[in-house]
Amino acid sequence: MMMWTSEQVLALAPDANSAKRGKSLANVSQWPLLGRSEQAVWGECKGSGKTPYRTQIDLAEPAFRCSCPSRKFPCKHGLGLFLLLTERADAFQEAPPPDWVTEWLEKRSHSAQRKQTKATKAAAPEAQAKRAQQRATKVAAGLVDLEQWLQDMVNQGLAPLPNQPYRFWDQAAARLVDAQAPGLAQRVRSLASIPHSGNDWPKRMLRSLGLLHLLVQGYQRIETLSPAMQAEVRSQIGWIQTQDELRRRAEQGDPSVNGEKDIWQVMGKVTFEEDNLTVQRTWLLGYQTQKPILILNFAHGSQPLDISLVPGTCFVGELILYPGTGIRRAFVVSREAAVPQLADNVVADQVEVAFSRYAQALSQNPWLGSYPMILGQVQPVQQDMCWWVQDTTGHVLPLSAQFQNPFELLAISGGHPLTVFGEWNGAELLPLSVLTETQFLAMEN
Amino acid sequence: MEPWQTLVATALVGTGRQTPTAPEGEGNLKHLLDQLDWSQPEQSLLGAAGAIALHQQIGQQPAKKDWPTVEPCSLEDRRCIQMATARHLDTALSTYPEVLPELLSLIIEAGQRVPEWQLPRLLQMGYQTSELRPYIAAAVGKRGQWLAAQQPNWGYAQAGDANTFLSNSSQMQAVWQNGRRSDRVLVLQRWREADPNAARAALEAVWSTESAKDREAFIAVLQTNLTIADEPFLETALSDRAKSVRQIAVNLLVQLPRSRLCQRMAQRIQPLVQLSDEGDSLQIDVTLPSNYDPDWKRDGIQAEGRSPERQQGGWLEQIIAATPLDMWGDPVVAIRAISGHPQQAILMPGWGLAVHHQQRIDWADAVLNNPMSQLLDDVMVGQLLALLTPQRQERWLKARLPDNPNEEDITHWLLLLVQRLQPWDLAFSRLIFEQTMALANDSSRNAYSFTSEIRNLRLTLHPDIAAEVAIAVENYSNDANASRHWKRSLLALLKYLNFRREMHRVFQASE
Repeated sequence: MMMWTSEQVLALAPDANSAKRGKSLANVSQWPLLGRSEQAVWGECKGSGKTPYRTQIDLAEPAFRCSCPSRKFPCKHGLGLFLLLTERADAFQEAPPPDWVTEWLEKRSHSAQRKQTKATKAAAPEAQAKRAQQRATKVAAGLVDLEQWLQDMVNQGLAPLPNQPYRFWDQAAARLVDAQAPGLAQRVRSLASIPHSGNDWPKRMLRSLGLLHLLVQGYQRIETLSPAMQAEVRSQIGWIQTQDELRRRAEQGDPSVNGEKDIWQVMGKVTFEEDNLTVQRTWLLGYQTQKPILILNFAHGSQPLDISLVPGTCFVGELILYPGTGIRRAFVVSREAAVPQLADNVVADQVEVAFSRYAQALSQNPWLGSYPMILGQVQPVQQDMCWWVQDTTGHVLPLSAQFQNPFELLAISGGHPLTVFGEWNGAELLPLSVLTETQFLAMEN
Repeated sequence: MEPWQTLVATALVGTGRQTPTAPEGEGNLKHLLDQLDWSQPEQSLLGAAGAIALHQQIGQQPAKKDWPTVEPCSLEDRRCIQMATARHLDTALSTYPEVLPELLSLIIEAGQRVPEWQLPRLLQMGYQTSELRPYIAAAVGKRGQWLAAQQPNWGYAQAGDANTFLSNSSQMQAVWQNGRRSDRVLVLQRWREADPNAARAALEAVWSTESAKDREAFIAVLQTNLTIADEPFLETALSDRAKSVRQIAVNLLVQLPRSRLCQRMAQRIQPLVQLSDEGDSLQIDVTLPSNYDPDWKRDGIQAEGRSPERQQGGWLEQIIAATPLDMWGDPVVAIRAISGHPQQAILMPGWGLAVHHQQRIDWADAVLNNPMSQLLDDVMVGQLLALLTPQRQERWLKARLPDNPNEEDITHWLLLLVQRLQPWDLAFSRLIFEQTMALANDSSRNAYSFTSEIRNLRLTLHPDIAAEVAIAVENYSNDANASRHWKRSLLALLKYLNFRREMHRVFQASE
């Protein structure tokens, strides 16, 4: 069984409050019953009511279940139980699972099978083609509208933009949502903050408008592009294929959809809010290919996010890559086993090399958003009121103003070089994890 | 102007007002830009912007800086605390901050340190809560001391712990010379623990240039490892400009019976007190001083402060308090002698102060175990009690356990001990808890105010009592007559005891 650390467990918490409550429940005296088997752990936790809550964890993923009424996922009991396992494994009796655990585990393996069979069931090809045709017409119309909007803006000049209300951007974005181009809508919405981003905003605005224009142009000439670039442009527009569809295409041997088997190290994750939507970017690194892969998860409102990929852990498994270019997005098709951390294998770059890799990725995909960098032999430095990382040749990268824990980074380094994994957005680095000789530490963001 | 800047300038104004000029590029970029049709200015400008922006982004080079480097931290450090303790620390920081001194003491006693990633949060906590600083400074290890030097608010933690304190290290000298007052106090404190005479010499060297507030804070540090070697310095401090400094000097000197101050006091008391030894009893004759001698002022005797008719008694009380207790001979005999004595209301409080200032354990024991101690107020009794070893304190308190448990007596008894922030042993903790439950079960009055008085028990009862408390609390909660306040207060007590038990368990298990 793989060893979990408290940090990894706490990284599963849906919010700071749940983490805090979970911590206070990680106390043997709260749990009259604690048990474990090869696959699962379970416990009964005293709550405010008469009957104790029954909490269980399937360790394979991990997956949680609890009889408490909380809508948080995992709930504080799940977190408390898991923390207890990492710190007081001796308090868990090795035992055959009680009925309420076995039933759940069986149900879980059934639903996993159902997922598999559902995936192979294909929708009627004619209906599918028709839907695609309808969407293409809508997107095309939306793009004509967007292009006109862009040209009007350039015609009238960027100078008045700081006075535009949020509505100005939001309405343009809403039209793109109606046109089934959510990716473009997101780009338009993100323009709204640029006029208020300080000095040089016109440069940043023109740059973003230019890239948006390139995307529109690219789509209008899509048939002249390579299949991978076509897929990339479509996905940038927001026309993304479903996981079921990709699974099916992969099974049918479609050459543009590839599965990839490897040992995957979970390098880090970042979660942020985007219009009522919680977005989670998780970065994996393939052991054999050293290729970074992006896993995106979304959750509406209070829906729970997927928590099965825990930074600092490794698993053997197969991914299916979304068609596209440059840094690829993927989803997990199957996981075989968790394996011990392989941090020693990570190839880290000095700043200059990381920059040239970034340039290469940009040349494959001009619309690249966040780029994963593994920087080796760097040190955090506070200079000119900002935080940076500096490598042994003196090259520096500014750290993101959003980064919460520069002093944590400094404490871990102690003035010695580190390996830092983070997202580079073209201007700033957001550190997501740190690798030292002995440990992997996820940074909270 | 560069083509990109021209392009931005045009875009700002708008192509409606200013016709854009086609920017020029080189190589591939030129090839791309040449394909644009400038008869459609908006479209071309956007196209050029996209191409040039991308070109710039791809050609971007990282900046190279020649910044001064920080001396790296030594990699040899104490062992880190276990993961479970790290989480306990995390929980204590957010939920049980009152437990931090206990937890940090466990870490320090085990010779361990807090892991790197927890340092910023802990150091920040110390910045906000000065009482925690001595503990934090000793628990952060070399890495924490190193980090503390990088952030001015955390400077206090550079002092580290007394065992590894090096007064001549550049870091300590830097703090001692340029640090904030509170940081310097902590460094001086460690210095004093490690090398008392060198610390005093360092203080003397800077003494004349320090402000009154600084002098006050620094001289108080001499309480640690106080010896007669400190006397000459303290004697000069009696002439200090600041009253607060003079007062501290007096309080320190009275603890040194061989000090000139104590000798002067002995001379002053001589005409006022006649002792005649009559075998195993003592006769004490007292004359009140007739007037205030101006020389007394320098030695800390206040002229005013009481009503005129009690002024003379007040002077005598102060002289007694500052005179070495040894002049009275055996404390048990002396205290017995003032029973029924006309001046017992001056002698007893004077002795109480003397015992407190001179930290005399034998006298504290004798005073507390004599019924005359009733002449002392509860604060003084608490101060004298604090001088005794925990075992002696427990014995003393046990002897005063109310034999006929009624609410008032129990309350009074509990109030004697709940102010102490010292750990009780398991057997005595049971006794305290028994009394507490007796009070809780007697729900005749609203216990609201009292339940807040017993808050300290959360921190002072032995953690191994948690299981017994859990049962008692459960039984109590099931009682229909249970008071809401007591229930809440007992549940909170249980929560703390459980947390502390887990906390201790990690250290016991690793022994």
